Amino acid sequence: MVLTTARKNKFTYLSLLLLAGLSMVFSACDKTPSETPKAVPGDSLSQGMLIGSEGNFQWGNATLSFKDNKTGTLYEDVYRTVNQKPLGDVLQSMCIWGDKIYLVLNNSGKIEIINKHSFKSEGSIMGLRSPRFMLPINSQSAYVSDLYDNNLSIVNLSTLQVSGKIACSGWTEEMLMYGEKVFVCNKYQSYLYVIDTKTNMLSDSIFIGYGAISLVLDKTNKLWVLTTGNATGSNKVEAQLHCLSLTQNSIEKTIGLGMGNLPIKLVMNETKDKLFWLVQDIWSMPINGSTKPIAAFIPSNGRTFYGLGYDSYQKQILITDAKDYVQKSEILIYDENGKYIKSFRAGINTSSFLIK
Amino acid sequence: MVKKQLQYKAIGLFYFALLCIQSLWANPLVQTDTSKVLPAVKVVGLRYPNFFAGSKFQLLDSAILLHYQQQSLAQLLGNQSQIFIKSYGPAALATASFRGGNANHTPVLWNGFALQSPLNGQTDLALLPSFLLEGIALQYGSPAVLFGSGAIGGSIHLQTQNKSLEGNHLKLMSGIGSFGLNTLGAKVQLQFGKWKNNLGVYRQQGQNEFTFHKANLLQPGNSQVSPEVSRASHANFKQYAYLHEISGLLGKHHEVGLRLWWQEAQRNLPEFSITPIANATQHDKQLRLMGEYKYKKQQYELQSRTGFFKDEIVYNDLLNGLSQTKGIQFTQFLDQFWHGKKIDILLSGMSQGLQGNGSLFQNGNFYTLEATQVRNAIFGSIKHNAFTSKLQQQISLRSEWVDGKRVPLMPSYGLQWFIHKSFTVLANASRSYRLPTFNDLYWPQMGNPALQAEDGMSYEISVRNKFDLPKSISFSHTITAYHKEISNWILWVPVSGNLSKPMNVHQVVSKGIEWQWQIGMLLGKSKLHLGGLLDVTQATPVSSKLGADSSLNKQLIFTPRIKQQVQTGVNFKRLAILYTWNYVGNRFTSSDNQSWLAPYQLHSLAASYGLNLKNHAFSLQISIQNLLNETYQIMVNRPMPLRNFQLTLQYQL
Repeated sequence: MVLTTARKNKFTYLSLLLLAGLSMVFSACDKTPSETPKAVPGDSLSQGMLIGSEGNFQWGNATLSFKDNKTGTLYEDVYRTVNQKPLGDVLQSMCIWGDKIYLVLNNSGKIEIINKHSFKSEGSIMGLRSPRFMLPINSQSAYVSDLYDNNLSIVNLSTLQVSGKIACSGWTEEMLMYGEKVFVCNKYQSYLYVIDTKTNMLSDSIFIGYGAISLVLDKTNKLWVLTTGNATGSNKVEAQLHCLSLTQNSIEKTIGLGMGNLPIKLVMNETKDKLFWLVQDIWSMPINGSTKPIAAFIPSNGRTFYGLGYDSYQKQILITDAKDYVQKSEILIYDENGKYIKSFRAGINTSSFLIK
Repeated sequence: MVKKQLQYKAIGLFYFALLCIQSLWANPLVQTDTSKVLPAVKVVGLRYPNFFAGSKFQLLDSAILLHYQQQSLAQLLGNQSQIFIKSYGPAALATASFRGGNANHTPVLWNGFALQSPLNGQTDLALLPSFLLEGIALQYGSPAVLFGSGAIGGSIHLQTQNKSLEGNHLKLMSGIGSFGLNTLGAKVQLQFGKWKNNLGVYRQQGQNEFTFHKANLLQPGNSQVSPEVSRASHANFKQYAYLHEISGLLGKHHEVGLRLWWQEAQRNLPEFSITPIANATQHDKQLRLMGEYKYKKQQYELQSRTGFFKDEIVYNDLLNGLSQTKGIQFTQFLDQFWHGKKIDILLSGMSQGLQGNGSLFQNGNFYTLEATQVRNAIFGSIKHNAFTSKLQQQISLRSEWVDGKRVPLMPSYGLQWFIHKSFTVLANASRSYRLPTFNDLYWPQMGNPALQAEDGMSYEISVRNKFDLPKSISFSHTITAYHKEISNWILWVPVSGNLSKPMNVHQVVSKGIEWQWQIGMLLGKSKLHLGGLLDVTQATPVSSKLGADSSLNKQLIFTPRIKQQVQTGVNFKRLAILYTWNYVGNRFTSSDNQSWLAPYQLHSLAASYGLNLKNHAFSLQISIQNLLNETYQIMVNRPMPLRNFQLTLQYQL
C-alpha cells in the first residue's frame, strides 16, 4: 500500500531526494587550500632574508618568513612552523643583537625573541604599550619606541623586563645610535630627539620640520632623516629629507618632497652613498644631492608600495606591494640601478626586512 | 491507518537522511511556516507593493518575531534568513551581506526611506530592536530602480505599524537574559474613529560580560581554543527607543500619517586582543521623522512623503580622543499610481539633500569633514497583468542626478508567471548602482572625490513549487539562480604607510543558488513544520586595477560560499516550540583565499506558552542560543558568546 502511494508521488519524492543530494554536493564544494607547511632544515636558516609581515590589525596574523639566499627557498610563516604557535598581532619591526632576533609586535604589546640560527622562541618582553622599534644600545639594554606611551622604554635584555622610561611625548619611531647618542624620530613632533645613553636622559632636540619617521647614517657620518610634514594643520609643513651634522646636532641641508606627500621609509645602499625612500614611488638620490629628483627611481605604476628595504649582501632594493591589504604581499626585487630582477609573495602587509 | 503511519515514516526517514547530510548533530522535528516566500503583492509594509513583479521575498512575520522580542534585528536575521550578518559580537556592530554584497549594498528601508548613514552607507542592525517591528520583508536582488543607490544585493523592509489591527491595544514586555540583559518594552494603539495612534517604547541594557573561550580560529593551522572560559569586559550597553506613529483618514479620499522614531545607544566596546587598552565607547543617536499624505480616488492615487533623518555617532577612546560624525538626510517623494484592470502605472519623483559632518582625530591631528549632496530622481514602472493576473510583467526605469550630474539610466524588467496553481516562475533583470559614501569621497587624508559609482546588472530566476501530499501534508519550495556583475567595485587600498584610499578596483561577479523549502503537516491537534534554507554563493573579482592581483577569481573575503538553515517547529494548543540549526561555511579572510575562518554551526531553541484570560493575553517565551556551546567567530578575533538564554514575559490587552 505504501509503495502504491509512493508511486503516486514518485515525482515529488524524487525531487526531494534530488534536492537533498544537491545540498550534499554544495556542502562538499566548500573547499579550502590544503596546508603544506614547508619543513625547515636546521641549516637552512643560516644566511638570507627575514621578511616581516604585519598581518591585519587585531587579527593576530603577523608572520615571519625567511628566504634562504643559497637555495632561494622561501619558508613562509617560519615562526609558527618552528614554534607551533602564531607570532602575534602586527609585526612592526625586527632587529638582530648577538645570537638573537627581536621581533617587535606592535598590537600585541610585546617583543618576541628567537634564536638567530634556529628561530626557536627564547622568550618575550612584555609590558610594552604599543612598541614600534627596538634599538639595543649595549649588551644589557635596549630602547623601544612607542606609538602611544609618550615614553621610550628601556628594556633589560637579561631579565627581559622594562627597567625604565625616557619621557618623549608623541609617537616615537625609528632610532639610530651614533657614539653615545641615540637619535629618536617622533612622528607627532617637530623635533628629532637626542638621548644620552650614559644617563638615559634627553640631551638635545633638533628642530626638523614635522614628523620624523625614518633615519640612516651615510659614509661621511651624516645623518639623513625623513619627515612626513603636516599638510592639514594650521602650520603647514611639507614632507622633507634632512641631512644633519652629528657633531653639531644641526641641519646641513633640507630637501623638500612636496606638500601632502607622505613618505614612509628611508634606506641606504651598501656603500652608504645613495639614498632610497618611499613616497608612493621609490625615489633615489646620491648623498651629495641637494634637490628632489625630477622623476621617480622606480615608479609604482598603480601598485601599492608599502615597505622598502635594502639587501646589503645581494645589493638589491626590496619593495613590497601590499595590494589590497588582505592578500599576500608581492615582494619586488630590483638592482641598485632600478632594474627589475624578480618577485615573490610572502605574508600580508609585508613591511620590514632583516638581512642576516 | 497502517498506510498512514508508513507514509509518515517514509517522510520521516527522508528528512532524517536530509538532516544527517546537513548536520551530524541537528535533530529537528518540524519547522515553522512563518518564513514564507510570498508573491510580492501580498507582502505588507512595503513601499510600492504592486510593483515587485519578479522579485523574490522572504517574510518574517509576528510568529517569528515573537521569539525575538529581546533581540536585535541582527540576531533575528542571522538566525532566520539567508542573509549573512557580519557581527562583531553581542550588541556590537552588525551589518548585512546579501548575495556576496556588503553592507553598502543592502539598504534597510522604513516605509521606503533608507536608514543608512550618508557617511558610511551602513545601518547597524544591532541597534534595531525586533520588539518595535511588526513585520520584516526581505527582498532579494536589486530594487535599485525604486529605491536608488545601494540596492544591489537585496533590501530589508521594516514594518513598524500593523495596519490591519483595529481598536485599542496594549502590549507590555519584560525580559531578562544571560550576561545581565534586561529589557522593557511597551506598545500602545489607540484608535479614535478613523485615526490610529501607535506608540512604542523600548529600553534595554546589559552588562554584556558574555562568556567565550579565547581562541585563535584563523586557518590554516589548528584552531587553538583555550579550555578556560573567559568573560568579556568593558562591553556593557544601554539602548532606548521611542516610536510614535499617527495615521488617519481625512474624509473619503485623503489619508495622512506622521511618524517619529528616536533611538539612542551607549556602548562600551570590548577589547579582546588589543593592547594598549583603549576603553573605547560609542554613542549612537538616530532621529527619524516622516510625514505622509495620500489621496486616492478610484484608480488614481497620489502620495507625498517627506522624511528627515539624522544619524550621529560619537566615538571616544583613550588613545585617539573624541571623534564625532553626523549625517542628515532630507528626502521628499511624490508618487502617483494608476491601478487599471490590466495595467498598473507608477510615476515618482524624489528629491534628497544629504549632509555629512565629522570631526575626528587621526594620526595625532584633528580633522574635519564636511560634505553635502543633492540627489534628484524620477522613476516609474508599468506593470501588465495578463490572463487574469497569472502573467505579470513589469518594466521600470529610473533617471537620477547627483549634484546635477546624471547617473546612467537604470532599467529593470520583472516577470511573475503563475503557470499552475502549484507552479510559479519569477524572473528579474535590473541595472543597479551604488554611489560612493561621504566617507569614501571625503574622509580626511584618504577620501577620493574622483570615485565612480559602482554599477552593474543582475539577473535572477526563481521557480516556486507548491503541492499538497496526502494526509494534510503540504510542501513548497523555491529554487533561485542569480547572476550579478558589478563594475567599479570600491575597495580601500593602501596608499602610504597606514593610510588607505578608496578606489574603483574590481569588477565582481556574484552568482549562486538559493533553495528554500518547507513542509507542514497536521498531527492531531499539533501543527508541525519543517523547512530549510540553503545558499550557495560564489562572489569573485573577475578583473582588477591592482597589478598582479591574487584575488582574481577568488571568493570575496567574509563571504560564505555555503550557508544553511534547518528549522523545525511545533504548535500544540498554546505551546509553540522552534528549533533552528544554522551552518555557515568557510569564510576567507584573505582575498587570495590563503587564510580563512572555519565553518561553524549554531543551534537554538525557543519556546512560547500563551494564556488567555478574557481579554488579557499572557505569554512566556524562553529562548536558548548556541545550545551546544560552539566556540566561533564571525569576524576575526571577535569572540561570540557561548550558550545563553532569554526569558520574556508579555502581556497584551
